[in-house]
Amino acid sequence: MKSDTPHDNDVCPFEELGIASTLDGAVVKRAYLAAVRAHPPHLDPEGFKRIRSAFERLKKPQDLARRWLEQPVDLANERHRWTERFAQPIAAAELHCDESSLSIVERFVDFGRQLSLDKVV
Amino acid sequence: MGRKESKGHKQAQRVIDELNRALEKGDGKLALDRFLVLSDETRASWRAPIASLVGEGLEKDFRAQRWSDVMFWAARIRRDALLLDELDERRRLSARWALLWGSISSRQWVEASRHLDLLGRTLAAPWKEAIETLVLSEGRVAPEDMPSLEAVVSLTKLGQKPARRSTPKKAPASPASSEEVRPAMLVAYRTLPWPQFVETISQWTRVLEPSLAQPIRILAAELAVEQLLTEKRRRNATDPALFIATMTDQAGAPLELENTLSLALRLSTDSVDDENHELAPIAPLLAIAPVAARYERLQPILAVLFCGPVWCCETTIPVIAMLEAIARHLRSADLTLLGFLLVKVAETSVPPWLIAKLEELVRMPGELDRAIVGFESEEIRMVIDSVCEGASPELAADAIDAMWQDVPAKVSRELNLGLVRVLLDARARATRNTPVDAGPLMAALVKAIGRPLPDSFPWQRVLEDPSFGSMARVISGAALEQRGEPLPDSVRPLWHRFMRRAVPECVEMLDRGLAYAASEEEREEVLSVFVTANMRPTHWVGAWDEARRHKLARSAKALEGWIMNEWAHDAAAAGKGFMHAVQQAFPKAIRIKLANLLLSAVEKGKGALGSEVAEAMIMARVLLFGRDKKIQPKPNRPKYPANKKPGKPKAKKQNRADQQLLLGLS
Repeated sequence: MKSDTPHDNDVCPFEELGIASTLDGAVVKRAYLAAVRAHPPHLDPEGFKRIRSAFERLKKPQDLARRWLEQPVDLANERHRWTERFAQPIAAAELHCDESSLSIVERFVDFGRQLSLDKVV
Repeated sequence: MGRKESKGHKQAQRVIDELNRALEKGDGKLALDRFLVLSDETRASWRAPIASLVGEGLEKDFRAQRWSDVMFWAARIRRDALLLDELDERRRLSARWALLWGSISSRQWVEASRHLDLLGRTLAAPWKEAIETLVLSEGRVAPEDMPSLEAVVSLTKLGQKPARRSTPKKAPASPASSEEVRPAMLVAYRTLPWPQFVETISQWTRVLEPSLAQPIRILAAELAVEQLLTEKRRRNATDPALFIATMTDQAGAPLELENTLSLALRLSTDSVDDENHELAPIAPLLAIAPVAARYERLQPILAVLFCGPVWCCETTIPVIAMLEAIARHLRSADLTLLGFLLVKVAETSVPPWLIAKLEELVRMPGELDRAIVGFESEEIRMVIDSVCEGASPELAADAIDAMWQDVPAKVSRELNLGLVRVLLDARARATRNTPVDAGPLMAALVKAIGRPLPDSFPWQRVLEDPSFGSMARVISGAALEQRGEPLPDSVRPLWHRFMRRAVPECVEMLDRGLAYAASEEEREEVLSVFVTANMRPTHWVGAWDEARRHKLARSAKALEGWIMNEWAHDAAAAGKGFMHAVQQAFPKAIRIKLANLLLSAVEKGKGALGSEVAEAMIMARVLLFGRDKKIQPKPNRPKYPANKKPGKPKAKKQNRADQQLLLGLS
């Protein structure tokens, strides 16, 4: 099938509207309206033209999907978000729920004596 | 006295010999033992090598968690306060750290306190405080101090990858209440290796009641993202992708998992290329895409993802299977047509689910015609072929009808070919009441190939194959048409449905229409449809030429008749037509007929002639009289004069009309 590849000098429309890449058409529309308020056509015709062009490129669901797919995934950021959400609960749950029913002190000792010095300096 | 001294000397010498041997062997424990037997003065020269061996041994035993051995070192190190001072700072502190935990493990709190002091400011403050709390309370930490111990452990773990163990471990007990779900899941994820985690969670979701299974599925999919992120780097993301897809699907695609699935989908799409020759890289995507189809917001991605790339032999069948799974949740014209295309690429028969989807789509105006425009010409041909092979003539006609709305010329050309195929198929079906006898056709095919096929050739399978049956019917239909048999009445409505769209497309369709017409009125209607659509006179001449070139006698004759009739009194149109034929170097026969027509129209016409017509007339006269006088030889004049005298040639006498024209032009 024919594929619509973006031009090399094509500025990311998400960036143009000041949002992260999204599949939510409502978010795009809200960002567009906010940008129009910031760059009204009678005061900033060039800015308005840019914003309008970015919105046009994201208006149809298929275009939005295509643009979303073009954006690279920030693996480090995704990993950080996951760690922020789960690392501490996992550690806490492990302390509370292990079957061996060790006391907190025993767990602390058990954990501490497995660490090398460079982990605690 | 002398004997005693001598004995003592001998003993010391023996110890030194043993110490030397232990050092040579690298036996730290024996060397340390022999070293401690020596007097303080003698030890000094041995301390450095002994300390090095002690540091190594202690570190090794600490890492292996051999606490009795650590305590062996601790007991002996206590007897020589200067021993560890021989080590460099890093090794000295590491040895103190090992001795600290050895002392804590054996509950030697005073000793532990001493090591902690000697470690001093090396430790991070939270750790120093926590260990101090433990040591000062001699292991009986007050309840209010417990959180600080917990916190320091959690914080340290937060900085690490929460790696699961690589060796199998007994799975934690399944949660008995909704409060236990989250902790049990988190512990299972932290402690079990990935395959065991998947197995455990799958089992829990199978056996536990729905109120517990549902949150387990949701949390499991969210946790598995970390595995997907890890495996993504190693290019082995199929397992976590499949797990996330399964959990989300079993959970009924809840809203909570939309972001998780979109991330999983996005991570899987990086492996899709313009041409996909191998299955392994796209396997995660094939697992996730059918579940993504359950989320409305993710649906547009699927058409973009799958309709763009080329799918090769290895990947076609799995992609068709995935499209079938997607089709359960999504009615997409793009993906349905892609399915028909891939069926053709894979040379397999059209599955019933694809036919069912097509039936749904033909009832949705604007869907199929929008989708077909996105395919390349060659692909459109394959899609139409596949539709005609798999669907009944009626459904195929409906599909072609639905696709034929405001489409570009290249698409309608391909649709025309599809229509011809449907017509041939339908007329073969209508003519024969029994199924097509494919045997003779195969025999003819073998004859055409020119060599016998092996005995093991799967004749029966070929004959029973639906696509072969369809092909055989098309050949039969073509044979009937070639014999000039009239269109059966049952197929006539199908033709009438498309006639007005098909006939203007090309001269072949005009010829077919003229052949199908049952009466003179119908023939006139067909011709009228063609010429009305091709309004410019030059197009009529072009079509006439094309019909002659392709030996479409019916069309050629009909078009000639039409042109002769229409332009008999219209010198301007005849002039344009003639000039077009001259410019395009159409065959002389056409040019002569048009030249005669032009002169005749001028004679019949009234009023002034434009410059274009005048120019055309000159050209026509040159063609008719200037070059080939055999067409209209002048009467009473011999071809070759008998006694022609040499001399100045006489100027050609121009007739009156030419003179007038030339004057007018100058």
